[in-house]
Amino acid sequence: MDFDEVLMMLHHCKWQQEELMDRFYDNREKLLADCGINKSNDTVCGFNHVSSFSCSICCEDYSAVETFSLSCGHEFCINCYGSYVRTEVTLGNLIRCMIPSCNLSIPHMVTHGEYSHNVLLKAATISHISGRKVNYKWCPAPDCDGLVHLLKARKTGQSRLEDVNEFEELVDSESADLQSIPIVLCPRDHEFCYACQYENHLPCTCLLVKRWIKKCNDDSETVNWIDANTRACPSCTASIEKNGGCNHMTCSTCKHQFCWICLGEWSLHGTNYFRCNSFSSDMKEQIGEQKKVKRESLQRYLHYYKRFALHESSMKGDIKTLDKVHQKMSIFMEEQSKTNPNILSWIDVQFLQDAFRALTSGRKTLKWAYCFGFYLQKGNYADVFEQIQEYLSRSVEDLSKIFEQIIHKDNRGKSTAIIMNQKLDIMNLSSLITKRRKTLMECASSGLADGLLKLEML
Amino acid sequence: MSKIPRNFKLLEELEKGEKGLSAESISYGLSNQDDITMTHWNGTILGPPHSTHENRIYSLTIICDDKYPDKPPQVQFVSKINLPCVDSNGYVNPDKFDTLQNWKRSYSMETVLLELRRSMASPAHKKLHQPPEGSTYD
Amino acid sequence: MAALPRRIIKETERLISDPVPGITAYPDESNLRAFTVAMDGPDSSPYEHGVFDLELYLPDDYPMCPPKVRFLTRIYHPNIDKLGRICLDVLKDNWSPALQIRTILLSIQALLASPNPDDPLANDVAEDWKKDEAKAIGVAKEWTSKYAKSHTASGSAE
Repeated sequence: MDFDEVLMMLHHCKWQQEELMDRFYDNREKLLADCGINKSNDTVCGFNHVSSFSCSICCEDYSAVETFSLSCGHEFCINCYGSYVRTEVTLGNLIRCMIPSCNLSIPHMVTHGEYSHNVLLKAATISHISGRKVNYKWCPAPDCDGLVHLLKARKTGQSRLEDVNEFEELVDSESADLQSIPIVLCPRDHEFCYACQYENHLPCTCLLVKRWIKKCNDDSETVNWIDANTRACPSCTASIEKNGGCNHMTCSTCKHQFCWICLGEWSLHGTNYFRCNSFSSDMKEQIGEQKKVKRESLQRYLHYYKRFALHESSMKGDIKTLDKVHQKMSIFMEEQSKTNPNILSWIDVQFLQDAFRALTSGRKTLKWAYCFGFYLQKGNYADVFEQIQEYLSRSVEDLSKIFEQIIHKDNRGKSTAIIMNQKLDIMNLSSLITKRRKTLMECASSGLADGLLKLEML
Repeated sequence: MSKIPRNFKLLEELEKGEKGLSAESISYGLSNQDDITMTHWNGTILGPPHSTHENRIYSLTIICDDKYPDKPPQVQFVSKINLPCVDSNGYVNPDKFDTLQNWKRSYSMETVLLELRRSMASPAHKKLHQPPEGSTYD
Repeated sequence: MAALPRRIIKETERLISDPVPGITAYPDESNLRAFTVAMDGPDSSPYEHGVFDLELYLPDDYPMCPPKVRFLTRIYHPNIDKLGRICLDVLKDNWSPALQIRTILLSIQALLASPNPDDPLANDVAEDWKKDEAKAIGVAKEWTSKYAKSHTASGSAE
C-alpha cells in the first residue's frame, strides 16, 4: 500500500481509521474495489499530450490536446475532466472515472495546475467536517484555520454536559453555570467557546455574550457620537446636538429653552448670562426622576461599553507590539546562534511566549468582565468582583507597558537587553495575571453558583 | 445562458418553495397539488414589522399562464389590503408595480412577493390605514 | 444565445437518425436544448400500449449536470409524482457526463418496467403498491388507457 492508496481508503471510510481496519482485514479485495483502487492493471494513470483525439464527453475532435485517464484507460480531454472535477469536488466524495461502469477513483496525489492533491484533499476534508458540524468547529480567530475536533465532552467540575449536542442548547441557556462553558484551545493557541464559537468569553455566559453583542450593534454607533456631542434636553430627555457657540438652547422636540452649561431653564437666567456658573441644586431636581433613570441607564451602558471597547482595541495594539517583540527576538536569536550558540537557547526565552499568552488572555478576560459587570446586580460581592478586576487590570497594563517600552523607538538596538533585564518582572507579571485571572473567574463562577452574584438579564 | 423553458423554471421555483429555501417572510405553492400545468399558485406575505401590516398574514393568488416567464404572472390579493399598486378587486396593477411592469425572465414569484412586501414596508406606505384584519376580496 | 455545444448537436442528430426503439425525441424549434419526448410503455408492464409524453431540458452545465426530465402525461407509478417528476438515481447523484439523453430515456423506460416502491417519490402510490400490488397494477393500467393515448389497433386514439 502506498500513501495515496491509504488516503483513498481513509477517504472512502469517512476518515474512520477503525472502520478502515475492520473492512481491510475483513475483505481486502472488496475494500480496494469499493475505493476504486486498481491493483491489477498496469496502465499508468496520468496526463498525455495527444494528437487527433475525439473526446466522447464534449464530442469535439481535437488535432492536438491534453488528456487525462486513470489506469482504466478511459481517456477524456482535459477541459471535460477539469469541469467534471470542479463539479464533483464540492460533493466531497472520492472522484470516480466518468464512465459509470468504471469505479476507479482519482488519487489525491494527481496534480494538474489548480487541481493539486491539496485541492482534492482539502475539499474532501471540508465536506467531511461540514457533515459533522457538531463534532468539529473552526477556530473563530481571524486568519486562523485551526480546527477543533471534539471527541467526547468531558465532565469538568459540576458540568452537566455529557453530550456534545447539548452545546447547541447552552448558547441560549439562562443558566449561570460558568463551569459548563466549553472553552477549547485550537492548534494555534487560540481559546474559544465551543458552544457559541466566540472567543473565550468567560466570565460571561453565551447568552450574555449574545445579548451584549446585539446591544452593542444596536447602540454603539450612535452612542459614541451622542455621548461626545449631545446632551439630554432637561425637559424631554431627547438628545440635543450643540452645533453653534451660543449656550442658549431650544429643544427641537419639545421647544424647551435651556442653558447648555447648567441645563437649567433659560428664563431663570434672565439677563445674567453667567448666572449658571453657580451651581443650583434645585435646578437639577427639575429633571424628572424618570428621565434621569433613562439617561442614567445610557450612562451606565456607556461606562461598561467604553471599557469593553478599550480593552478590545488595546488587545489589537498588544498583538502588534507582541509581533514586533517576537520579530526582534527571532533576529536576535539567529545572530546569537551564529556567533555563540551556547549563550541563549529558545528554552531561555520561553518565558516570553508565556507572557504573550498571559497578556492576550488577560485582556480578553478584562474585556468580558466589563460585559459581565454591565449585567451584574449591584451589591457587596459585586464590589469584590470589580476590585479583583481592578487588580487584574493593573497587572495587565503593567505588562503591556513593558512590551511597549521594548519596541519604543528610543530604545532601538536595546530591545533584547531590556527583555533580558526585565525578565524577572515579565515573568512575575505573567504569573500574577494568570493568578488574578483565575481568581476573577472563581469569584464569578462561585459567586453565581452560591447566589452571591446575580445577573440582571436586561 | 440558455433559456430555461416555462415548466422547468416553475418546477425549480416549486422546489425552492417546497424545500423552504425561499425567504422566511413569504411562501408560495401550487393551489392544486396535481395541476400538471402549474398555472395556479397560492402565495403568502408576512406583514413587515414597524408598519400597519405587522403580524398580519396576507394571502394572494398567482397565475402563471403559458407566456410565463416571458411575461409576468397575474397577481391578486385575497386578503384585503390598502396599497397604491393594488386595485379595488385586489389585483396588483402592473402599471403601478415596477416588478411586473419591468418584468425580467430571471424574476420569480419569490421576487414578486418580496417586492410587494418591500412596498408594504416603504416609508410612503407603511403608515397607510388598513382594512380590518382577516377581511377578503370576494 | 450562445452556440449550441457540439455534444448536444451530435446527440440530437443521432436521436433523430438512429432513434431508440419505442422512444422519439425532437428538439423544440425555439429552444434546441428543450426536447419533446414520446415514450412507449414497456411490453408486459401496466403501461403497455400507452404512449407517454415527456419533456426534457439540457441545462447550461450539461453534460456536467444531468438533463431535467418530467412526464407530461399523467401516470400511476410509485417513482413518478403527480406533477410528472421522476425519482431516478441517474437523474440525480448517479449522473455521469458519459451518460446521454438516450441512456437516460432508456433508464426511464426501464423504471416503467420495474417500479421501485421502496424508494418512492409519490408516497400514496407507493403505499398502494406495497399494500396490494395487483390492485395498484390495475389502477396503473386504467390510467394508462385513460391518459396515455394509445396507438395500437385496439386503442381508440383521438
